[in-house]
Formats: sequence, C-alpha cells, structure tokens
Amino acid sequence: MRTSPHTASRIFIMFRSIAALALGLVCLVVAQAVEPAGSVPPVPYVSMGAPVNPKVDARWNRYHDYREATELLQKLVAAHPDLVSLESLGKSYGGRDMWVLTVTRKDEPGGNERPAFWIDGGIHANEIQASEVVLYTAWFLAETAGTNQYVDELLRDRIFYLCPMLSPDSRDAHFYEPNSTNSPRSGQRPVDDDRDGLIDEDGADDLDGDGSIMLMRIADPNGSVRPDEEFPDRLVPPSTGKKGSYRILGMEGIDNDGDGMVNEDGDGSYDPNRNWGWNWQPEYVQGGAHQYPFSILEDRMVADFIRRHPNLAGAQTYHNAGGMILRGPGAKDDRFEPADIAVYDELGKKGELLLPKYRYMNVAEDLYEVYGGEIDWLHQTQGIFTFTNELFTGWNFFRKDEPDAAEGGFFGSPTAQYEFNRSLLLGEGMTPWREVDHPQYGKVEIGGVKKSWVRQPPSFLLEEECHRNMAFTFLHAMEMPKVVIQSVDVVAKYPAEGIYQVTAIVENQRLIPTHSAADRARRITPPDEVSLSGDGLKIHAGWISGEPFFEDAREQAHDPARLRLENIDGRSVVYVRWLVGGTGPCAVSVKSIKGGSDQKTGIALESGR
Amino acid sequence: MRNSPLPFRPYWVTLLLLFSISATFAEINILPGYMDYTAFAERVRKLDEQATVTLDSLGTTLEGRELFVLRLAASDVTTGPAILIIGGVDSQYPAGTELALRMAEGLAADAELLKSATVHVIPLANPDGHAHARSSPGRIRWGNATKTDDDRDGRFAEDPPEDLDGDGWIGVMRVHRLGGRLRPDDEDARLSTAGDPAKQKPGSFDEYIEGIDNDHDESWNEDAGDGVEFNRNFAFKYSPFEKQTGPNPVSEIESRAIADYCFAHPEIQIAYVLGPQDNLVQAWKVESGAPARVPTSIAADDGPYFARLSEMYQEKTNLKEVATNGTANGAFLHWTYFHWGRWVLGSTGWSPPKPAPPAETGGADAKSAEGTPDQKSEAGNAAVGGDERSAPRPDVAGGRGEIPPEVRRGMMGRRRRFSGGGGGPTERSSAAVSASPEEIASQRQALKWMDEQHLDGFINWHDYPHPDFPGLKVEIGGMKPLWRSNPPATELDGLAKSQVVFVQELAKLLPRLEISPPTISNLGGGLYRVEVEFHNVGYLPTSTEFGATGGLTYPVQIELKVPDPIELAVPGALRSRERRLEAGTSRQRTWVLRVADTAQHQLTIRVGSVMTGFTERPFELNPSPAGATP
Repeated sequence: MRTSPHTASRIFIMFRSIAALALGLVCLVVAQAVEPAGSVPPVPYVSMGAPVNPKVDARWNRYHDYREATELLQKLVAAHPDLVSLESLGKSYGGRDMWVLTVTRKDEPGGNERPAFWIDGGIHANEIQASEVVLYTAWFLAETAGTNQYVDELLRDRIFYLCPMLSPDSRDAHFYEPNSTNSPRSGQRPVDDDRDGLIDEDGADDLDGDGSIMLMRIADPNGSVRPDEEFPDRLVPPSTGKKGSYRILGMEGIDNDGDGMVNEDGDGSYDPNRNWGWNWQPEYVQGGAHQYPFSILEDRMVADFIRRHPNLAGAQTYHNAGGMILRGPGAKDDRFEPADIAVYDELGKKGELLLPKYRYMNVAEDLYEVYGGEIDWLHQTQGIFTFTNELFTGWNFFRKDEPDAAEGGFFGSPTAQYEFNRSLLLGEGMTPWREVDHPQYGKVEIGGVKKSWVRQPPSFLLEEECHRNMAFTFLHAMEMPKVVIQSVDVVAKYPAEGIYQVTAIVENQRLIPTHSAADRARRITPPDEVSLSGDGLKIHAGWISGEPFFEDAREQAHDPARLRLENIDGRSVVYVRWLVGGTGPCAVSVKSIKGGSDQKTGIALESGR
Repeated sequence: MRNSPLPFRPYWVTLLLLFSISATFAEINILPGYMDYTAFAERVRKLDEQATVTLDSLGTTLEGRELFVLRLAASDVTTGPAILIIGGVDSQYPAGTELALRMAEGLAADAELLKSATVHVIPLANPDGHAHARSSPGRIRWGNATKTDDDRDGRFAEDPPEDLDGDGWIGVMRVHRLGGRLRPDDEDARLSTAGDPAKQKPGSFDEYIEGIDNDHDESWNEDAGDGVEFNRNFAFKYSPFEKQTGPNPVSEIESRAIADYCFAHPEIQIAYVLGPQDNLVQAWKVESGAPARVPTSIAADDGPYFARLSEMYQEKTNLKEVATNGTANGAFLHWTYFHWGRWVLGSTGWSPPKPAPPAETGGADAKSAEGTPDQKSEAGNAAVGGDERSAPRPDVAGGRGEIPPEVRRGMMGRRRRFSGGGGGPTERSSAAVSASPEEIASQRQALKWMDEQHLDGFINWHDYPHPDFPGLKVEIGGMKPLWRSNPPATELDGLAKSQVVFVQELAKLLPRLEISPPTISNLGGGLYRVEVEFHNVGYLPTSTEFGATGGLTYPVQIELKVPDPIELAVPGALRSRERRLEAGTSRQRTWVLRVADTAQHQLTIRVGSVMTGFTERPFELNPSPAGATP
C-alpha cells in the first residue's frame, strides 16, 4: 500500500503540532523558571475600534442580504439574552419580517420606560450601507457591553431600538434582481406608473444578464457624445470642433409593452420616505408620495411602533449619499422652532467633526424640498430630535476636495470615480462596453457602473463609515434628556403649626429638553411630574419656579402632590416647593416620559435647618 | 342549576343581553323617523336581494358595524365608467345616509341607466360616528370609536359632558357673572351673541357645555374622548393636532377602507357626496392668481363643468340654497377632487329650513328668493379654499368645547423663560366663544322655522344649581343636535326622488368614446397606411383637467392590434396615449404597416382607459396588388 502525498502531509502536520506543543511546554517551564513565582500571564494586545473577541463573529467589509442580516440579529439575541431582543413589526408586502432589535441592559431601574433612541436604515433599499451601519451599531453595542464605560452608561440609561431594513423586499431586489446602484428606491408594491391599465409591465431589462442595469449606447457618427481621452469608457460631449461618435439610449431595457416608451413602468415606483403623516402632499406636489399618508404598510408599521414608544427622544435614519447630516424641516412652508434648531446645531456641528467632510444641513433650504418625509414626522408629530445621515462622500475617494466643486455632486465627480475605479478598484467597479442585440435598436453596447458601486463604499471604506456614524448616534443618545433630583431641602417653615417647606431642584443633565418646542406647542408628550409622597403627609400647596427664590413661581392648585412641569430644558433646573404638614419620612420623585426618572427617599421632615 | 348564583330566568338573559348591547351599541333615536343602524343594515340587506345589486363590506368598525358598499350594475357590465354615491360622511347629517340608501333603491331599478354606468353606493361612511351622534343623552358628536385624548393632556376621556338636569340632552350652560362675554341676542333672546362693551352692550354670561369639571382642571368637558371624525380625516387641507382630526390623515379604519376602495376602482369618474360640503348649489369657482406650490383651486378648464353641473342640479332638484357649507379641511369631498382627481359633487340634498316671510313686508317674497344678505356673502365665498371661519358648521355656540386658540397659547407660553405650566388654564379658558354673525343669523332662521313647524328642537333655558359655580345663576338650554341640520323624516322620500332624477341625468353626461371607420391606403410594396379618428361624444371630458395634470387619472390609450404577419414599417409604437379628450373633440392616429403576405387580416383599434372603459372597432385589411384605396 502506498502512502498518498495527502496522508504524508497530514502525518507531517501532526508531527509539527506535537513539536510545537513540546516547544511551548519547554518555553512555559523556562518562563516560570525565569519569572518570579505568582506573576500573571502577559496582557493580550487589544486593538482599538471593533471588539476583538466578539461572541458573534461578523465582518464589516461586506454587505449582508436580508437573510444574512436576519441571521446576524438572531445570533445577537442568542449570544446576549440579557441585552438584546428581537421582534417583528409584521410582514412586508413581500412577506419579509420587519425586524426591530432592542438593545439595552434589561434589568436596570426604569425598565422599558427609560429614554429611547431609534435608528433605522434602508428605507431607500438601494442605499444598502444604511442597513450595515444599523447592524454594526447593534453588534457593537452588544459586544462591547461590559468592557467600555461609555457604552455601559448608554446601555444603563437608554434603550436602543434598531430597525436595519425598513424596505426589506427591495433590499433583496437590489441584491438579487437586475438593478442599478440607484434602484430600487421604491418598495415592491405594484403601481401603474404610466397609468395605462397595465401594472409594472415595462421595467428595465438585464440584456447582458450580468445582474446590473447599466447604460446603453449605440455607435452613431452624428451622436452627441464621444469617448473621453483619459478614460476611454467615459462618454463626454465632444470638445469644440469635434463630432460625437455615440448616442446614449438610456438605461438597459426594451419597450416591453409596445407603447413607444422604454422602462416607464417598473417595480413599484413610490418613495417610502415621502409617505409619512406630516405635511404629506400628493404625487403632483411630491413625487413618490403614493396614495395617502402611511398607505405604505412598512412605513405604517414603523410609525405605529414609534407611537407606542413615547419614551423615544432621539432618532437617526440612514441614507446615501453625499456626506450630509440633515435635519428638517423638509419643506419650505414648514417650520422648526428656533429653540429646537439650537439643539440640532450643537449636535450637528459636533457631527461634522466626527464625520470628516460631512456637512450639517437643513433639508428644505440646503438640499431639496421633501414633503411627507420620515424625519419631519418624527420631529413634528412625535417630538423626537432626528437626523438623517447621507452616508459616504465623494471626498472619500482621495480624501481631498474636488478641483472643481461644481463637478462634485452627491457621489463624487466622474473624474474621481473613473480614477478611483482604475487605481483602487483595479477596474472592478465598472463594466467595459460590450455589444448585445437589442430587439428594437439592433446592435447596441452596454457598459458603465455596476450596481454595487458608486453609491456604496467598497469594502475597505465601509467599516469606517459604520463606526464613525455609530459614534455620532452615541453622542446624540447620550445627549437625550436625563432628569435627576439634584437636591431636596427641608425647612421648618411655621413650627407652631407644624408646617414644613420642602424644596427640590430637578435637573436635566443633558442637552436635549424633556419636551422639544414642537412638542410643547402641540402638547405631544404629557408633562413631567415631580411628586412628593409619604405616609401621614398633608400637602397644603405646591409651586413651580424657574429661579431659586420663587419670585416668579406658579402655584398648582389642583393635586399639588404631583406637580406637572411642561418642560425641563436642556442642561437646566426647575425648582419645586411644597408646604406640608405631618410627619416624615417622605420621598420626592420625578418622572419624565422622554427624560427618565429619579427619586430621593427617606427625607426626614424634622431636619429643618 | 339550583346552586347557580343567578336564578336562570329568561328575563335575566334578556337583561344581560340588553346591557351588553347597550355598552357598545347604545343608539337611541333622537331624530324621529330616521333609521338606526339595525334598521339601516336590514334595509341594505333587503336591497341586496335585487338582481342588479351586489352587497359587500369594506370592513368592520371598532364597534362591529359594517362598512357597506352596494354595487348596482347591469348583469353583463363588468367594466366601464362608474359613479360613486356616498352618504354618512358627517355624523351630524344622517339625512345623507337616508338619501343615499333611497337613491340606491331608486337607481337599482333603472336598467337603462345601469347599461351606461355602474353605480357604487356607500350609504354610511362612518357607522360608529352616526351611532354616537344619536345615542343618549343627545349631544353633538362626530367621531368614531377610536380612543382619543381630546385635550392632549395624556389622559383619555377624563372629562366628558354630563346630562346634569336629566332631560336626555347635553345642552349649553349659561353661567351668569360679571365679566361674562356673551349676552342674549337682540332678535331672539334664546340665542347668544357676543357682548360689545363699546356699544354699551356688555356681556353678562359665559357658556359651557353641560357638565361638571370632572378632572378639576378648570376646563369644562374638554375631553370626552370623542374619537376621530371621518370628514376631517382626509389629506387635503388636513388640520393636524386639532380635535377629532386623528393622528394623521386617513388614519382610521373607515377613511382608509374608503380611500383604498377609491384607488381600487379607477373606473369611478364622478363621486357624489351627500354631506355638509356643497358645490352643487354654490359651484366651485376657479381662484385667480399664480398657481400655488400646493394647489387649492380647481383647474381653470374644470370650472365650466362644475358650473354646468350645478345648474343642472338646481334644475332637477329645485334646491337653490344651502343650509351651511362645511369646511374643506380634511373633508372627503375635497379629497376626491384634489387627491383623487375625480369629478366630485357635494350637497346636503335639502334646502335649509326657511320660515314663512313676514306678511306685512311687500317685497318679501322676491327678497327671500334671492337669499338674505348673509347667504349672499356665503355664496360669494364659494371658492374651494374656504377655511373653517368662513364656513360655519351647524353647531350650538362653541358646542365642540374647543379651547379658543388665544387661550391655548396662553396656557402654553405664559412664562417667558420658564415653562413649567403644562396646565392651569384660567377659569374662563373653556368658556365658549360666540358664533359668527352669519351663524347667528342662520340660527335665528332655524328657530323661527322650528317654531312654525312646531318642532321641539330647542331646550328652553332653565335654572340649574351647579356645584362648580356656587353662588352664580346657571341656566341650561340650547339647540338640540341634528334637528336643525336635517330635514324632517317625512320629507326624505320626496327629496330622494329628485336626487335619483339628478343622478339619472348625470349618467348621461359621462364621456363616451367612439371610433370612426379607419381609412386604409395601399402604398404599394406591401405597405399600407391606416388612419383613424376617434371622438369623445359624451358631455364630460375623459378626466378632470386637474386629475390629468396631476397624474391622478388615466390617459386614453390608443392601440392598433395586428396579427403576426403584419408589423410597423418604421419602428415605433402600436400603442400611444392622449392625456385627455374634452367633450366634442376628436383625435387621429396614423400607422404605416408592412403586410408580409396577401391574406386577408382582421385588425382592431382599441381606444379607452380603465376610467372610461374601452371601445373597439375591428376592421379588415385586404391586401390587393391593385393598390386601390378601399
């Protein structure tokens, strides 16, 4: 019998392993001999950033499809039952679960009523890295818990609700059906876009079968474009005195329904981020609006979840691209209160530091008008401070400003794209022009950007995008209101009658108020309550004041045991005072729906100063 | 059995049953002669027995009532234009439901009409709201059964009104005191009007809805948890964060089901809404000025059609006045035009109560025929953009218990720097504000008419010692709900008859597409030119201009269907579209075809849309070497 080379190599490896083990043992013995007795093994080297030894292994230089993302979420629940739970808001149009992951230290005081932070991504499903940032955030929170003080404070004081895939059907459509980097922005619900009575009958066609919908061109001596000299695959208008050599025929497709138009009625064609119930306007004012607010079921499920969680005080939604930190309002006829804008400004400016070359902007004035957008609904109807980040900036191609700012656009200039493709993607980001037969145009060429690039960062830039944006949401979540009772002071006010004066200072330690100005104007969130309680306590009267001398105080005649505060502003205090009779001890507690709760117990009434 | 704690007797069961029903279905008919839900549902099901009628439910409300839709169609008609009739959009107008159902009964028997149009009838759009509006004690209520926090204080339904005097009605309380803002109306002391100290006519009382201040917040009956009102829950000019408008537009079971039904039935070309919003007596007019980013005016090209439909309505029904014209804000009527793009018609279906003219005034007849100055001023405001103020609702003064905006502002921002308030409205904060002069004029007229007809529509003012106002004279009284906003039941049959006639006329106006015989030219070499002309021979255009511009309606598709050996000689399209065809207009299409063989072929021209239905004309193409034109 012959020993195969395979078996031989196995034997060799076995021997090598035994040798290595022996060597290790020798070393250990030697080390023990050299080191003084009772010393500890060397401290392992811990690299910064992502957790080094996570329970759930994950890679953040690639994209997760719906199934992989679902598995990751389920693994996080299994590995961290004390921190993570997963629920489905229901099924999408295409029957996929609408996942919402809850991450928090579950057994902390305050339970489910602690201030909460919402993060979602992928409402525009083609903007796929949006979901990755949400998944990364979930994974990072769960895997870093117990090792980092900052994260532990967040998980103690706050609850994170994460919805990584707001349009899950179209996420899979982007991955597994012919699409471009720009599609599908819509969900998969059928819509008769051209209103000819046929539904979704003329979408794009993947003529070359490569999964990407790219550009079509045809050689034409009278064409309007010609190859660029530096990048021959790029088509440019001819310079003066030269003629074009190609005609662009639009995106890959045919006139499937014989109505003279190409690709005019593809999947869906509504915009889930124009379907929200604030300042909604129909299609002719706002493209993509669909039929009426929340006619898109996936949006309605999310809105219903958010309405069921009035403890949400901050939110982040992710989109691509262009490197922006956006706040509302979306439309010029809408308005945010100056006091709220001041809060956004402080967070947004800090965001510009964490996210290099991201610009903090207002949607309506600095970008374009949006009616019925998600973040306006969150701010204006739920009183939740919300940002949208437009992930990835063209600046990131070469980490320098475009020579011609006007050429930049949301996705970087074509020059930068072609150079990046050539030098860093080694040509993989684009498909060279190649000939196919077109049933209507004859021989045409198809080429250009693949669906998996331009709007999505390549592997080596993805993880950084995830981490930096996550850090921005942590900052925001940390600055959500946090109410505490700073002090309680008892004075024997009228000793003869046994009347004590109890004064408490209630503090909001963070930037964000317990009620935004929008919240106050519309009475969205019920007031914060400061209560005084105790057996045998008789509360005669109660006041609320903005300053310590109670010169501008307001008496609350009805039910003074529970003083109702319309707001506790960011980084400020409110003074409350009671005149009480009876005996101690008593307790003062504060409860704020968006700002959390605190209490001081065992306050003796005899302690008059 | 012997050990049962409850003796098992039939009357126990009955009692329990009654109690359990009354918990959710308490509907006491406070408007004599009008159907309650049970009678209504029975009559709807009866109508379903007719061959032309298909009954469906669009869903079940929170309290378990059905959202019925009746489809009236000739047995062989499956596509083609349709008319939607909808009643019960406003719980204060049960007459709308009474009329819509009677119209369905009348139209179901009209075989001729059903050949040219299908009729969809949703007789009761807000069944729970209607039941609430008519439950005891009687009070003005619009909303459905959705749980709401009407005063947005985080507590639900903590301060509803109470029938303090036990008369079966929630009236109005007049609290007499110094600093009161209202005084008795000069012409009819039963009514209240604003005090005017500058004219030495100071106010002497404030008004509140009947009840006590259950939550001791010095606001009376500010949170009855009245649900969401169907007719304020639609997305055009929606008023967010107002009482009973809902958390967002189209948020309710009822509104969503009906909006979805509309979108699922593009063939509906006309929606006729029997409710408080009118555009049939006072036709919508085109607003001048630059088009707004969010349009609030009808399209210029639609104006003449609205005017003509209004004329026709008045001819057929002899209704020339409106009792009130409801707000556009969130209304279903406006939504069907502005967000769905359809022809939309609105009417209460009856004329306002009108007292006999005073005998001694000579020219009174002529004068009253023209309407009072007040009515004229309302008529002059017939543009669709009327806001709440220009379009008073039928109501007792401030009967919705709404907190006036200026007081609400005070409640929220009284402290300059510090806003720890969150409540603490002043004592006067929920005092009703006085009605507009137009509304008071309309109330006077209504009272006069009710007096003449011996209708018991007013609760006379009577003293009530109110625990919340010790030492003050408090009276309870006021207009009974529903009486003023609905015709006496005896008039309903007659009113419905003229509505049926109107809809019969309406069906004749629908757009109708016809295709002329095509012209075929033999160009030689197997090439043929086919030219065709098609026409809208109806009265209405194939869609509203507004809908066509806004992409809400459906363009007319023109398609030539050819068998295999035939192709277009030049690449192009066998199908194309026209955005809209006005009545009496024609369009042409030309195709050049290549016929590969010499056989005779049948071709078809098909013109239409899912709105209009499709018209087809088959024709023969007979290749002949002679090159002759047939």
